[in-house]
Amino acid sequence: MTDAISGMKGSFWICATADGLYEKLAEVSELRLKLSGKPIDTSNVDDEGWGSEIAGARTWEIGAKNNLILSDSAYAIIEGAMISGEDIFVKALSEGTPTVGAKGFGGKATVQGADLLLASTTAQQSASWTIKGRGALSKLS
Amino acid sequence: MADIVTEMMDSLISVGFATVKGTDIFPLRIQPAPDEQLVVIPTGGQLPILTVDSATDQPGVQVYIIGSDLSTVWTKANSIHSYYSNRKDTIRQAIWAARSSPIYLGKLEDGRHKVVVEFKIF
Repeated sequence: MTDAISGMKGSFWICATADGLYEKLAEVSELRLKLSGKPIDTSNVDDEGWGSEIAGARTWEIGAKNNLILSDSAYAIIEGAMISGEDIFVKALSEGTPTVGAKGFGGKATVQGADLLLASTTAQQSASWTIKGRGALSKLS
Repeated sequence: MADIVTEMMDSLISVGFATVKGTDIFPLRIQPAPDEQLVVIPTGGQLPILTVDSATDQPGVQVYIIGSDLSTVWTKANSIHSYYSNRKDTIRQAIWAARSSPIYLGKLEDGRHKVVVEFKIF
């Protein structure tokens, strides 16, 4: 028996304030957290032909896909942030909820991209979000 | 939410393609009588739309139009196909034709003609 964790356990939570009530984004079908580092090139003549670098600034972003549920509280927050550009606070969880057994990551972010499918002859209405971190990413456990 | 066969039969009756369940419209199986009848069966449909906290069915149905007069059967099949070929909020959120026309399936052992129309539902 594997120790792999089912993707069905993951969830994405959103709040307009850091310490407010986090709302679960409804009907998520995919959730990804990506961390990227921007290295600083330190290659020099003493590297004997090899390149060298040191760690530079790191950034993080979350990509989320979900069915478009207009009555969803979390959708209202993210939709508002999409229009206003204001910060939101997010928790991307592998397991648990923000208040019970949370395992995942969180931080302050902005909605940097939205791709809303509003009409289709082959698929339900859906949304894809690109949410970029502003500042540090925190581990939740 | 009722099962999709019941929902489809109720709609066919409300539109006027049949009158009473068990009289001239039946679920699942073709009946020896009456001569002219509709039969609704589920097709299994498409895979449910799955998310981490929901599964949305995308069912399908077939409506069999049965009768000894081929002209009457074919005309009714075309009427049902045309009516349900693209409708919103009639059965669940949307129903549309799964094929471009009714299909003639030949005769039953008792000589009645059998035509089928198929639909997808969200």
